[in-house]
Amino acid sequence: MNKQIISVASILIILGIICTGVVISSNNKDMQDKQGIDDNIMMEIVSEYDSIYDNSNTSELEERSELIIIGTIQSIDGAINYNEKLQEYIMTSTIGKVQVNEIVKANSDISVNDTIDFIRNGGTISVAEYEKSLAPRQVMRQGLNNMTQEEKENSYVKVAYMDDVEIEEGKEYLMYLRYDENIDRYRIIGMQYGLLEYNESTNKVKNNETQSWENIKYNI
Amino acid sequence: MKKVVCCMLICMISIFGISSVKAVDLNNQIKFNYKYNRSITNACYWVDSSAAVFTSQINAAAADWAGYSNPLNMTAVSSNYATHMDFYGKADNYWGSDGTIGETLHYLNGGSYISPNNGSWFYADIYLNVGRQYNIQGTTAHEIGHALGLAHWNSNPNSIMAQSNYRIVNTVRPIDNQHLNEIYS
Repeated sequence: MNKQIISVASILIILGIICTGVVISSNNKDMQDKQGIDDNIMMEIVSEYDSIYDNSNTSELEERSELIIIGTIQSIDGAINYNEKLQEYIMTSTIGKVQVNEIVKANSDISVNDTIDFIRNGGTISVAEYEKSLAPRQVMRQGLNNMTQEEKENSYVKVAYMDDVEIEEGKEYLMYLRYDENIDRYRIIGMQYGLLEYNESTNKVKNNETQSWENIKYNI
Repeated sequence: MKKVVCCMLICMISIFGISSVKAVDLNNQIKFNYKYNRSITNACYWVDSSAAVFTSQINAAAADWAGYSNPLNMTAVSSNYATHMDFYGKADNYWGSDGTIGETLHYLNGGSYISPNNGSWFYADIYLNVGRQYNIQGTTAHEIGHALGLAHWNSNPNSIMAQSNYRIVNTVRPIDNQHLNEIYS
């Protein structure tokens, strides 16, 4: 009996070690993949834009948001530049998942501890995919027709708005969202004003313009 | 003792000097650090079919800039070979309906992107929102300003270079032309 228990325990321990090794290996691969992308960024495009909205106006941002949360970015799942539903090319956008930690402005569909899919303008995409969103004249003028397919698949373009901040996996943010039914995801809006890093221990958010930590205006 | 006092004074002056250097306010930078790497006296622009619906407003905005006393002449051409500016139309969904109505991107000859604060450029792509059709001529004139080397000036609502939600004018103003002349003088 004792021998049987020891055997079962040994098997379980071995299985546990194997599974842990797989997870670590997978995480390392994710880190290596990201590092590989970062090392092969061919072009970083930062665009000047004109907007009808004043994203720096918090009241206006609150009004435009369907949902305001404190959330932790569970995963960054890459970037897309094609909307399958509309069958249209879109600005390179980062997609991922965010866990809801606190709700500031409620949406009846969302509760604390929910994980929701998000999308946010700006992101890094392969040249091969980026090229598909361009007009033929742009492809020629940017010299992309001189690249091999392999080069295009292994080179990347990073797209962002001027002054915007990059969303990061594992970080906690105060974020302003509205549901985008055209892509079935919550869209983080407001650019650098709609995604503010949050420090739970101090209950402060980071002002992306001044880089200073400020008291959060909401009761959390 | 005198040496100590001198050192302290030097340190205090240095600290004051460093602290008084302000970071650039990118909402009110007015002019980029760089400009076109070639003359603008014969600037050509091309309108892609995606922006054809806005051709008259693009022509009017170009004429608005060129109509002032400055080195700029703008000519519409039928091919984007070696043009200074290319105009493209994008649907509102391109930006996820986030309110963007115009966008300008700067490039070197050969097509590599260049930030206008990091180096001079050969041409610019201008994207216009064909879905919202919001104040098209004013937006186009604003984006042309970016292509020419002007940055945002949100604190002056009487400048075409204030973003749409800040400005009250929709044509190029004398102060904008003054800044253009300062860049290309």
